[in-house]
Amino acid sequence: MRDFIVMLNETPWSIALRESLYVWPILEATHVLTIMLFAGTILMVDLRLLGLTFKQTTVSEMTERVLPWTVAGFILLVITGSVLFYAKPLVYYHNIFFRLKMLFLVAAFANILYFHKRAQANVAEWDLTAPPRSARISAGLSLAAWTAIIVAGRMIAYDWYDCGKLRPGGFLAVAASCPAPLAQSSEE
Amino acid sequence: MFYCRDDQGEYECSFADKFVLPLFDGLDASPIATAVKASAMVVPWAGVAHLLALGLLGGAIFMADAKALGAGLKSHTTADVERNVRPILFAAVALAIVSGGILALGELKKLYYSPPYWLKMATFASALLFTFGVRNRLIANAGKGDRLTYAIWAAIGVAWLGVFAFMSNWLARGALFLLLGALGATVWRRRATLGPNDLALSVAAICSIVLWLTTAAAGRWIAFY
Repeated sequence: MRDFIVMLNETPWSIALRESLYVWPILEATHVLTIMLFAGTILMVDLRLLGLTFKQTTVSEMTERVLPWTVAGFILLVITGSVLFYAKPLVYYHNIFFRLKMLFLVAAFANILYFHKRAQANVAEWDLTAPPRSARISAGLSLAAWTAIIVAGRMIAYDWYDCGKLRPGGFLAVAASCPAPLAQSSEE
Repeated sequence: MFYCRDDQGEYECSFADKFVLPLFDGLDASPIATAVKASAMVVPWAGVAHLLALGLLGGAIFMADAKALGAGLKSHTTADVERNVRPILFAAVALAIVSGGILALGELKKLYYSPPYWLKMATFASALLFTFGVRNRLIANAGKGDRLTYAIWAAIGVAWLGVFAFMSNWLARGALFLLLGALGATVWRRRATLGPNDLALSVAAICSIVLWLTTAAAGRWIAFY
């Protein structure tokens, strides 16, 4: 895996991207601004499920009319996020917050699957009333997971836990797959 | 031209250097700014809160503006949608101001000399004034605006375009015109079905989206500049 990341890191386009004056900031700004669309719309659906807003709106109208925008935002986030990763693959590969973010993403997706397969199955019965416990728990989990993803995403920028600052062989160094200290010079 | 004074004597300086810079310097030396700068954790967590506020704000703005542009919820009027998201918008703005204030205390000396920061403050003020002074008034009256509404709209338009033309670079202007073009085309495509009041609402929604996106983009650019 690491060999592949190192190879990716040395491709000419990756180097060009991370050294670019404008492209990298524009991609990063787009990634951050898309949070407004993505997190903002998923928040509305979750708050409706929790019964905190849009109480006169059916859950199915929320999911049919608002969620497509959430998906559009997500596609833009994945595209910009992937290119950003490609620009500095080795840095992100060893970044503990990046790894946490990916973990939270998996959790968020498991929750989405659960909601669509199970919690939402009998939506016709509670479309305009209070959603059942399972749907409300799913909405709460969704809010928690996406918040955690945004927090971890923001923290990627900080270098507190970079491999060079971790005790070799320690828990965090292992969690970040830090290479043995001798090989560390290739990190910089 | 104004005259500022330092230990070398008097020298020519700008209005801002004479009256605004001392405010920034004073604030920068205050105990609260000193505490913010001394802590390793306050600024990162304020940054997180600022980002979460951005998400809240995006949702609250988007729901009402999308509805005014013919997307989003169907079974409601725009006024219904706006009422539902209003508490979220208030919470988002409050969180953005508090977290943004803390972030600013951490780097006042940099911000005073940062064009993106001043652009952001200008668009933030216009976006707030526009959202509550123009857009929400139009929404509440199903698109019918009184003279005051249009006067505020015109004033913001003139002031903001001036600020934008003077303070931003070709990149920002290009992005702005692209955005305006795309949104304008959306309204143009629907023009056959739009009455004058719907048209006013749609254009207000475009202005709201553009103002808030510019604010967010300029805010992000503070870190890049």
